[in-house]
Amino acid sequence: MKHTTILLIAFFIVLFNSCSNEELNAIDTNPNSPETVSVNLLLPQVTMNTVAAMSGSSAHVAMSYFTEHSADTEFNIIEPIRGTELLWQATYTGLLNLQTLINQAEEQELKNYSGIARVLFAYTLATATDTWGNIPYTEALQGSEGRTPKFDEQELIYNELQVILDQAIADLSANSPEDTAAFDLLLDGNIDLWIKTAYGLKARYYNRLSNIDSEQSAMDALSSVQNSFSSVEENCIFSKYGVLLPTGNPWKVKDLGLGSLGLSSTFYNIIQQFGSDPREDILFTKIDGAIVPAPIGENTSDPGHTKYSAAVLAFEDVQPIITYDEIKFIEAEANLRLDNAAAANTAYEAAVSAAMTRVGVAAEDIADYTAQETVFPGQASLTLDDILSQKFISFYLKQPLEAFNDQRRTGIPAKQNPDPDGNPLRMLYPNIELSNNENAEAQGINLATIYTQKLWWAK
Amino acid sequence: MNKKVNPRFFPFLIITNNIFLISKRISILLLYIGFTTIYAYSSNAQKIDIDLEDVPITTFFKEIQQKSDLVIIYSDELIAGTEKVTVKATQATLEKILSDVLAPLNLGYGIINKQIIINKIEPSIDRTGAKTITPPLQQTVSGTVTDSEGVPLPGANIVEKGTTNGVVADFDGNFSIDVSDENAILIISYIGYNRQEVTIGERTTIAVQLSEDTSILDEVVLTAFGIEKSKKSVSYATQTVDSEQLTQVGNPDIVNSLQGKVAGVIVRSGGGMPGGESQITIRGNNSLTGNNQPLYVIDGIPIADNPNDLNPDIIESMEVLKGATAAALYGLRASNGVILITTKSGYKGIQEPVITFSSNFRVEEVSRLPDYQQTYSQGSVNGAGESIFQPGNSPFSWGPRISGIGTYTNQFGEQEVAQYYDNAQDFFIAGGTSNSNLSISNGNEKGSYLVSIGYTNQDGIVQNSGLERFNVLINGNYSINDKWKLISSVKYSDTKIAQPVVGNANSNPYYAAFNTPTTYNLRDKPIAADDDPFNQVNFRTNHDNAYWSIKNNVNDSETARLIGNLGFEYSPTDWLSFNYRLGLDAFITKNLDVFQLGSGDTRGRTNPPSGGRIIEQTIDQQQINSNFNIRLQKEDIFKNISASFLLGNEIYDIRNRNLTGRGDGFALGGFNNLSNAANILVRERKNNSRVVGYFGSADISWKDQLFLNFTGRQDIVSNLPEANRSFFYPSVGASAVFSDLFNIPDNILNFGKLRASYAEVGQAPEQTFVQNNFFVTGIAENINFPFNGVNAFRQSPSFIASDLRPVNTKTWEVGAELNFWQNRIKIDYTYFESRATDQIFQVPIANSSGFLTELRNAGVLSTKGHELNLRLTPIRTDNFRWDFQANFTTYENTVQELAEGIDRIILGAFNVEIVAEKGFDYPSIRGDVFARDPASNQIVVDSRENVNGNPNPRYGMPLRGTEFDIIGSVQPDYELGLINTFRYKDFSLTAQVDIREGGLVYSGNNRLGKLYGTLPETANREIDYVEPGMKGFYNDAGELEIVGTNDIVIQQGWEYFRRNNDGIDESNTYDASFVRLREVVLSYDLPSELLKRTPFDAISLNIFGRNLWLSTDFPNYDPEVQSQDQANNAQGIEYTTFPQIKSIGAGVTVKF
Repeated sequence: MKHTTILLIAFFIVLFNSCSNEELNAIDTNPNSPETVSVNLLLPQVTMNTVAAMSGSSAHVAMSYFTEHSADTEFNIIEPIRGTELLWQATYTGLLNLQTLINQAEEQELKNYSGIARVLFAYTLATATDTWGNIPYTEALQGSEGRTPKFDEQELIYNELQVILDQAIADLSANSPEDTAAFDLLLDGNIDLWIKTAYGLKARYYNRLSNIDSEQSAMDALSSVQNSFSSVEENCIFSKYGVLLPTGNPWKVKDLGLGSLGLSSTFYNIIQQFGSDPREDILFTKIDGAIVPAPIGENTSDPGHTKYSAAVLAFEDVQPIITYDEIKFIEAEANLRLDNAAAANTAYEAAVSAAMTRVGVAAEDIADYTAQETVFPGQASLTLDDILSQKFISFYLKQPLEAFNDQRRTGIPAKQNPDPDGNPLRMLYPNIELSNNENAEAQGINLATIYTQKLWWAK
Repeated sequence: MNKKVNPRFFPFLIITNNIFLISKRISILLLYIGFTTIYAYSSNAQKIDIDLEDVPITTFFKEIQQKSDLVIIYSDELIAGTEKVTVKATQATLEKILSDVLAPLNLGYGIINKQIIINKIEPSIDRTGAKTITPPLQQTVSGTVTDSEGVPLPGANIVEKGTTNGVVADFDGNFSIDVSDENAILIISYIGYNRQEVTIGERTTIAVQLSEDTSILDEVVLTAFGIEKSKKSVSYATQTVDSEQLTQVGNPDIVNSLQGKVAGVIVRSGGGMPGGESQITIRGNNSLTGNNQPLYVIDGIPIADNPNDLNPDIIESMEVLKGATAAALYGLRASNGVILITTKSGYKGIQEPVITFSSNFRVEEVSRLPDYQQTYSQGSVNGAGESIFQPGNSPFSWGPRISGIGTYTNQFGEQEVAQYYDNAQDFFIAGGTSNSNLSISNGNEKGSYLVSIGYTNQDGIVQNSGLERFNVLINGNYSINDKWKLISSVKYSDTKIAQPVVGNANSNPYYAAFNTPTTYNLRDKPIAADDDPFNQVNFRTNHDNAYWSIKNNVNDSETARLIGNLGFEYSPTDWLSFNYRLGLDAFITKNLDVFQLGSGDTRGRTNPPSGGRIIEQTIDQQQINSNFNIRLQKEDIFKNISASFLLGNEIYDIRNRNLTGRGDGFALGGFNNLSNAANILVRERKNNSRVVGYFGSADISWKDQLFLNFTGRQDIVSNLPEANRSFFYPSVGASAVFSDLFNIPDNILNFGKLRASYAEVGQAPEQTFVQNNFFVTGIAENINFPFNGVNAFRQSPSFIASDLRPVNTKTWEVGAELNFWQNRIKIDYTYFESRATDQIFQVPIANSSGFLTELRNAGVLSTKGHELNLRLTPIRTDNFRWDFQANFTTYENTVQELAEGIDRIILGAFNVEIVAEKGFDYPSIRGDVFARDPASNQIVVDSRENVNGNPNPRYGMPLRGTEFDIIGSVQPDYELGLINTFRYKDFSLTAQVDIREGGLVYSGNNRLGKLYGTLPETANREIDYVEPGMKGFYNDAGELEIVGTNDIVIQQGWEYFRRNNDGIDESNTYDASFVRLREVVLSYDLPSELLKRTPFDAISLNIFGRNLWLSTDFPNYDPEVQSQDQANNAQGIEYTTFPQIKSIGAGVTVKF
């Protein structure tokens, strides 16, 4: 009996101890994840989110088809407009982490971190609004506090982009002492280059408003261009992709999945209209020694690229974010709008040469190419069509959104896809947002209206 | 512990009330009247109040039967002329009352196996003493006792009439008795059967068949914590499946074997893949995104997971507790019902080892393959609309007619004549499964043991796939004295599974298995270059050659699992017992996935081959369960009122660790080790949780006719916020045996019971670590951190709400059990409703909030439905019997509410979405639909000949709706299992037909077959066709304008299937109704006379088939498809999954 009593007492001690709050809280303490992290652990994540998840998303691959850089040689654009979920996710989880980083950096007065984060924030936000039009911004990123953020007009977003970039420039110009080099995968801690990137983006987003206010947008763009990249060596380009699948450029990873990124006939026509282009040898594969573009929008199948040329891709390919040549194209276009033909032509010629240099064309080949009158027609003959067509070529392959933006804004170059389902003007909002935020459905964007409703700046 | 339902199915169950079983070799030891001490029925110590005056002895017997739960067996002659009896006793033992009444009448008794056998007592015999005087014996008679179908009745009593001389049949129904002379008459009796008297004459062997006594209905069911209750007392529906039903067709998966056998239960097949897990839902789904699988309890201890690594041979029975009421005591894991599994154990009193060996083998093949088109060749259509032959270089079969091609040069430069190849038929081979099991059991009056060793080997219907399983079971129990009893059980299993790689990725072999281009000879062409085994040869650039994939890629898993428990029962008095069980479920699973150097999935199909990936995953988990309870049982607390009470505590603690190493970029082909990888990423995840529960129940009955039951449980869980982690939930139930209550004559209704119950079950989230938000390792697109020498974190994309409270599932059910015509017709019907509120799950949140999901309470899911179990015995003669059983299940599972602002939750998606959408069936399929004319609801085709100045390639083809819409419900309207069993002498034939009506499936295989041009519907590609419906177009405002009735002639070809309809998910979604011959079994038990001179006690043989016949409107493939994503309740999508199998086989069982 004595033993039984002792056993019973021991049993109940163990029993009651097993369900004390301390014990249960200890069991429910997460051993897998920290509850706080420092800014230098956040920066690489938000950088790669911008570079890989945004610029390398499958939505951008789809845009490569819509803008007719590429033709899908396996399945065409049978299912054109969905598949933007991941870009939407990357946008908002990216913005949230950028916001967290900015808040933390501000608290700790780490202005280089907050400055870089603001540049990435603006780029992310712009990518989203250029993809979908109206998007949540003022009520976004609230977690449980705002489960159904309202959708802000694109005009508001575009105003905000300039505010954010101005703040970024202010932060980056504060001569803050912290060294970000070890954690800055994009520009290796080069704060000056970050400032120039910020100005470059300002120029890009001002210039986008050419249909809203032709003159003002040009003047604003030009003022930002002055403070942006000044040579072909200065670019915001990510160049740290590895040589293997898990660390490689997502464009290569995706293309290897389907083998479907073919050279589109539209793109090849545009290149050909300028004459023989040395980039052809760099950018496309050949079939029996010849470049054979795939007819855009045609229901054909050639996944092995035995009939049609493919894009030349490698895992370690760079991902341009914004480049010197783009700045020069913007400068050319803005000047042309302001009727500064000479300045426009100078900028255009610099842009074309820089774009070719960037993809590895030798100087003498550039000289041969630009010697053609079709390429450099001179200031008297230079047209918007020349500028935007060369710019269109310069965005190949990994900046289709910018090409698509210009095309939607200016109609240059003209679309050639005969399939009515191949020419959307915008992307559908992803189902995850439509299902969970009634404000999304109210935008009235569906499989019929994506072909008819233009973005605000596209007018 | 077992319930005893139908001894015909399971003769051993009869022993479960811990009495005895006697081998024929020790039949000498047999029962003598008065010899009650050893073989006492455990409750003979029960105390009874009795008050009878001057009544016939039969009235006395009836009274005793009612009060003691025992059956009294006597011959009329024995009591003929006995005087009336008077007996008055309070709280007297049964023994004393019987002795007092019977002794003066010169009658004796024995209690055996819940039967009181009345016999004449010789004056010289000491009724209560240990010794008896045996009458002179002159003749030995041996024989067998079976039921009317020839199933042995172990434990049957054989008593020489007018004497105390008796024996008990052994577990094969055999007995041997020495009788006084040839005039002796044997009385053969067995509980639940009509007594029979047999005159011996000069025979030395007799075979006795007893017919069922339908007036006795005292089935016992197993309820929570192993408590047995009389079936008539339970207030909810349960149903049992016994060993034979689980093992008879050699199916290695016990869960899969339940299909069609239990009303209210729907099994979704895991396909025919070795080790493929089946999903089971009992009365629909209660959880929107979480676990809807029942809790499995083995030998009284809840286990962590699906028990599909158990060997079906070691299972004695499975009891399905369907509603929450039945399961309420098990607490929060039991809201989806409970399946109680009882493993086989030894029997007390055998005293000589019984060895049983069983083995079966079956051959398997793919259940259904399409009748592919054989007219058109590999190839595609060019921009001008011409079919182009593309030998060796296209996934499509949209090329020109094979007949017009003749000889061509293939990709190896060889001359080949174009012809059709049946690649699917070639790819799937005959598989086979063998099961063998050896068990030894023994016991004496103190205890018993059973040791069982099993081995299962399955070769899949795809090369290099298979399953190998080794099982050991050791069960034992021992009574230290009459108060203490020890129980222990150990189950060990080691399961190895090899499967082809899965998923909708480039290495999945099923793309090619089902849809190799018609004229490509996949089987006979080399799979790789001569000089490099990793440089593949295939008809498709980026995909793996199917044969190469199954040869080189690896998808293996190995699980070692130990389930054990140790416990004691302490019964200081006959009305009080203490029970304790400590259980362990520990397993280690090692998964090895290899995408070989050169595999398409790792983008390595280049020259030279590159890529390669290895994933080594180790999951170890241990779950400890501690269960302590106190049981009080008291008969006749007040007049006619009995009660029992239970109080208990349960603790379970789960520790889980998952360590995954992933290596990419192989240096060497075929070297499947992490060290072969250029880039290695290791991830670790732990999960810990604990639940402490206190529970109690009270059962009160009146006259064994009215029953009331209450339970309550308080759970305290680790994974809820402090303020909400402790919660209580109750249940209440009532049942009434109205046939007894109102004395309804047996010839109208021999048993009738009504029951009703209500229960609540609380639930904690499935997720652990819910108290704080946190950061997780960085990832962006394909880039995982650490990357480039730096690490990174991001906020967890899942937000955790701070006010989590427990889920609550409320259930009620009403039911009736009606047995007519001497149990020839049995109906068990239940109507049930349940409503699960405050569901906790990762609620999808508008991503613009910054998060992807939010862990919070949201949503209400309701279920209402009917289930019916009908059993008929249309024919019953001495030699022939036909039994029929129907299990009918229908329910509506509806999403009642979701969190504010959320229209739907996407459970899984591949092209279509599987959704939980408010107001719709759960789950439903949502996707791109046909555009329909609102007036007529007819499909609308595109009426625009030109668009933007270009010819419209979609002219005359169906338009797509502008938005995703609900296509339909995945839920079947009903499921019906029909089981017929015919028995003739030693033969029995069982056939089960399963019917499923309704329920949609998005069929990826059908989609691809139309896209690729291989399925029969693509054979009509040159025939003019007008889509039935209207014609119209979307105007600039995005509105559908109808132009008129469609009259546009098109062909259903490349443009139709590939460009147009493929994007309309509705065109690839089909009704998956079917009627299928699930199982057929023919078995034969060798007559015992034949075995007399052999060392065998029993031999039975059977041949069986599974899924042999199918009728369905589902096109081309098996309608019972493996779900695409089994983890997330995303039933209803099938995409390049392993096909269902059909099988035939044979088996043998031998007892020594």
